[in-house]
Amino acid sequence: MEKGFDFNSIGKRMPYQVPDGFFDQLEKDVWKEIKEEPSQGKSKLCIRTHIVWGSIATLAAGIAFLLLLRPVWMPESTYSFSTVEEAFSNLCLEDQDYLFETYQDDVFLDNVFLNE
Amino acid sequence: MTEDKEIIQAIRKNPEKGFRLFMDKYKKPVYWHIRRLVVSHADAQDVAQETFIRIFRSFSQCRDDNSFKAWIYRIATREALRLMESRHNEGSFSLEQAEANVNRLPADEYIDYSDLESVKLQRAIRSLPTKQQLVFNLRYYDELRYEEIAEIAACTAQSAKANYHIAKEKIIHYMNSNE
Repeated sequence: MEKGFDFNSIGKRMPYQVPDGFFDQLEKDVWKEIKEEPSQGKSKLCIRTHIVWGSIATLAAGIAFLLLLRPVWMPESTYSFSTVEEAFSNLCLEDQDYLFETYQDDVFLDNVFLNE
Repeated sequence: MTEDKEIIQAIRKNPEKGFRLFMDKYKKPVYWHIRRLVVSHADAQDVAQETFIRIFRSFSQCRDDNSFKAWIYRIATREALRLMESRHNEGSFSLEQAEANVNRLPADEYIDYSDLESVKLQRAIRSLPTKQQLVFNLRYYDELRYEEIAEIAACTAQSAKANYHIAKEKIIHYMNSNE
């Protein structure tokens, strides 16, 4: 093991700083954002959920169909992670949240993102 | 300091009151975790705000009370990496980039460049592959358990431990060099 630098001499000291009162302001900004959000009625949420699931089911069926019938000459998909990210960022905030909440624990997606 | 279980119960009982307890405990550590990854104060501020809003909205998705902290850090990490990815925006971005091309500290109003040793340490950390940066920061600064780090970085606890020790050795080497 290489010697010389000692972590104890610096501990957790960092050169990063924040403006005075920053953390109080951050909390205020978060609350402001949360309270400004339009309240989502249950029925609206329910409709949106049905629409999203309907879309996902249709998309899944379409992909399955293409995978089964894909002609030999059809090129492999060239979609990269950044393409997916770009498409995700184009969704509205509510849809982003929905997908985020639904798939945040998805092991496969995590492994794509944090690929070992 | 309020225990996580108390915060969880408080949020379930009264989301706003519980979330205030959550913010009391986590706003600083979560901000600093994000800041160490994205460096710029302005970026860290944006990512932290987005992270806390996501946590508030998606609290019901946290099913395991025992890994509440890992869940919080996972959301914060994901948001920070999303911003980093958008900054790189060329080709695919993953934690396995062999060399992070950001091994310097960018100009920022809120960095004390006169503290040469701590600036050099941050440069050393940023010279690591992103996954090692993440594991090192979570262990060294946030003192998370390897099991929690594994949940955040989507690896095994053994892999997290190995990554931490490799990162530490590389940092010592960097700090002893004249870079």
